[in-house]
Amino acid sequence: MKGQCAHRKIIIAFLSILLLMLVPPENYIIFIGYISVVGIFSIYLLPLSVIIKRTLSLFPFVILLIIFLPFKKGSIPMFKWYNVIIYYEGSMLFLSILLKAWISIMILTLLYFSSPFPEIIKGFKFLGIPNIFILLTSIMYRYIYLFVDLAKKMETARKLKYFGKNRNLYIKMYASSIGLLFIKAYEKGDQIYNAMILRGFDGEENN
Amino acid sequence: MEKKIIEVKNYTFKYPDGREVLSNINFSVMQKECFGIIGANGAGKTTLLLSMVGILKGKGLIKIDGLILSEKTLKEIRKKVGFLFQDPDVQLFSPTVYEDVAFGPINLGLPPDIVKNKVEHALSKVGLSGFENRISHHLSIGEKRKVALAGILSMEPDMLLLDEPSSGLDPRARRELLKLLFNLEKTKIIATHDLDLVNILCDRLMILKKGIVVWIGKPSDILEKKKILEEYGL
Ligand SMILES: Nc1ncnc2c1ncn2[C@@H]1O[C@H](COP(=O)(O)OP(=O)(O)OP(=O)(O)O)[C@@H](O)[C@H]1O
Ligand SMILES: [Mg+2]
Repeated sequence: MKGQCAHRKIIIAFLSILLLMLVPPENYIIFIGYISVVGIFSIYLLPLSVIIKRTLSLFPFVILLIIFLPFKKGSIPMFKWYNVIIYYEGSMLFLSILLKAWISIMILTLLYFSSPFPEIIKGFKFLGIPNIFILLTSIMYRYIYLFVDLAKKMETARKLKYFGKNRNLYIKMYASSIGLLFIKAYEKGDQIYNAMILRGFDGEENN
Repeated sequence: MEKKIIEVKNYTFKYPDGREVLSNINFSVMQKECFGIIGANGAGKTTLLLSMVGILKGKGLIKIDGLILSEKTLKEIRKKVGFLFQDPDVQLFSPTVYEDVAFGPINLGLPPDIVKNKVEHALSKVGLSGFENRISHHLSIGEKRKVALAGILSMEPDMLLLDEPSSGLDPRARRELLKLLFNLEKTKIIATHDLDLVNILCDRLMILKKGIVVWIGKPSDILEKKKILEEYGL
């Protein structure tokens, strides 16, 4: 095995995420402990701005997934406005999931930045993770880059095309370009799959 | 150059939106021949190449090395044909250069030491020895294209289908690619806008215009006729 192998880091990262998941929603102290430990580690390894940028960029997705929790879950109303009720339990759950997601992302960011991707892959192999999962992970990893790249290019194109002060037009352009981004991403995925089968891939494990 | 190795007969293709992009295409390619396909943007070059490996399915007959392209022969045919995509980003999906070039040989079920050999050989052929541990998506376009080519060469196919192999390359990278392709003793089909490349490499040339074959012949017979070329959007 050439180079380094990141299997220890992978185990530590996943164990800490697992532990984190087991913490009940109301247990602030443990959360705070977690954040400080992860935080201290990350500051040692990375500049704070990088951590914040990386981790917060995924926040909107998490929020989108759990946004309805405070309105749906629980029995103790915390806040009431006409028909809209925000419940205590739901809110706690919302906050705790958000925090857990944030810390998990921090841990993964740490893992990612503290070892080159090929080493992480080697670590996966060393741990006996099936090849198909490794392949999927590495494709996802590549795909994210392509996706971000695509999004950036479209953002630039949009900026170059938009001159005036017409807010509505801008919002329209923005919305349609998000739709286009998904179509393009889908087509790229299709092409990547074609490229794979043309090199003999049939979804089976071989090595 | 006696044997016909690729035959396309009465091939017609429509995209799902109903537009006929290729109409009644007929041509054949000899063994070890270099066959150029030129045509303006949207003429149908990529569609034709993708049809020849069964990614797109139209009406008509496609025969490769004695096998008629069908669901049954698909796997066999794809083993014989190496396909270089227009966009190298599509083709490089493994994290490192080594793994990417090894992807094909591994799928062929070859043992690890032979895989390693093939990868090293292919990388040296494209002039990228020592790039094994580089991260694929951090390469320049020219390097990506070379890695993609190595990924195909490592499978040692008999035929190469190359979609715009020289686009996005700087003059030096382009010259290197030309030399590399020139020295490859394989049947090659090259779809391109690069008339100069076609002139240097290809034995015969086919011109596509809006999905119709308008001309087949020797490059030297057409490339001087600038007026006709312009008419075909070249
Ligand atoms: N997925 C698709 N669905 C519908 N139409 C398509 C699709 N892909 C391509 N086309 C259309 O088919 C025609 C031929 O496209 P093709 O990509 O084969 O052209 P090309 O000769 O390779 O062009 P270029 O030189 O730009 O690569 C074009 O008019 C294109 O708009
Ligand atoms: Mg094309």
